[in-house]
Amino acid sequence: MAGDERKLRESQIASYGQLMSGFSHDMKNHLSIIRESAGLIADFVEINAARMDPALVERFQKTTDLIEKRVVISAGLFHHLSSFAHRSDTPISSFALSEVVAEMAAFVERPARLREVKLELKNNADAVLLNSPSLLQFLFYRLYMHCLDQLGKGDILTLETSGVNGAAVLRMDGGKPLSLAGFPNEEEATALSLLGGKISEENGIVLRLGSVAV
Amino acid sequence: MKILIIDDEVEFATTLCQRLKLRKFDVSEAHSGKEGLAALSASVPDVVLLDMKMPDMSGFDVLKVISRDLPQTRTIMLTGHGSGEAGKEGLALGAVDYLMKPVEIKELLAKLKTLEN
Repeated sequence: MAGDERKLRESQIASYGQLMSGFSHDMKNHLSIIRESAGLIADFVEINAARMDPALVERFQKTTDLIEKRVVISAGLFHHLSSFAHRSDTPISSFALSEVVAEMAAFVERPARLREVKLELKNNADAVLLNSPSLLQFLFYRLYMHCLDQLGKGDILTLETSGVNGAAVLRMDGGKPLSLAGFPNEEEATALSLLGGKISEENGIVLRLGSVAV
Repeated sequence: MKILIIDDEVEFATTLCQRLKLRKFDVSEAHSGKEGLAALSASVPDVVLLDMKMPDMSGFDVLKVISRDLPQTRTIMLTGHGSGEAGKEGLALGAVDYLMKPVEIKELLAKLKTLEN
């Protein structure tokens, strides 16, 4: 890719990141109001419980608990979305592989759930890399979907991170042999090359990454 | 304990204000940075719950004034940012703590209790 085109792509990605980050910020403000409003109802019910029909109190409590539970889940997703979006602020930055994987896991849990595959995270070390997080997000997603396509109902896909600063490893282990056949295609190979990474089949699929020179 | 909430999200500030009043705190609210500064000069609170992003001025600018002019007032920043970076920046500017939005009331009450003690 020519230098000018690459710069344009990086600016594009950074713009999407800023848009998503702003959107996520707005959504958190909406969630704040929903949470406080439900909390205020719960407070009023608690204060007046002695004068109310116990069945009504229980229904209010169940409803406000349900709102709270969903607010917590939604806030977690937007928290990850915001972190995910900020990863594209600069083309190359310092990041812990485990954190990028945890953020991505929040978004890719759904396709696993639809296939009735359980997703598990295992972090052995917060190895810090200097590399391109947005490129890693892309490659992670493609590799993850490649692994997921080989799994089915009842399987568990474990995403295990390890390493030391400057050299990190991500293992995708499906509890049975996973093949690299068909991976990487041309664009995935370009991403892998720009990241300076290596992929191999070793008790699952292993992605090795280092830091890149700036 | 006297608390001032400075947040441009009026419904959030008002609802949180009511919830804290139910817990016997002396709470008032301001819905912009400038309104917050005016409230601070009229009556000095023990604690300020301060939003980081407001249209007229940033929470950091308000925090700088609090740190400079009201050293007895403790500030807890409220942030909608995904990472804790903005919160840490607030700590560097003199905030005693920060909370991620949407705020968990139990977490806020625990922090207020710590400050009260």
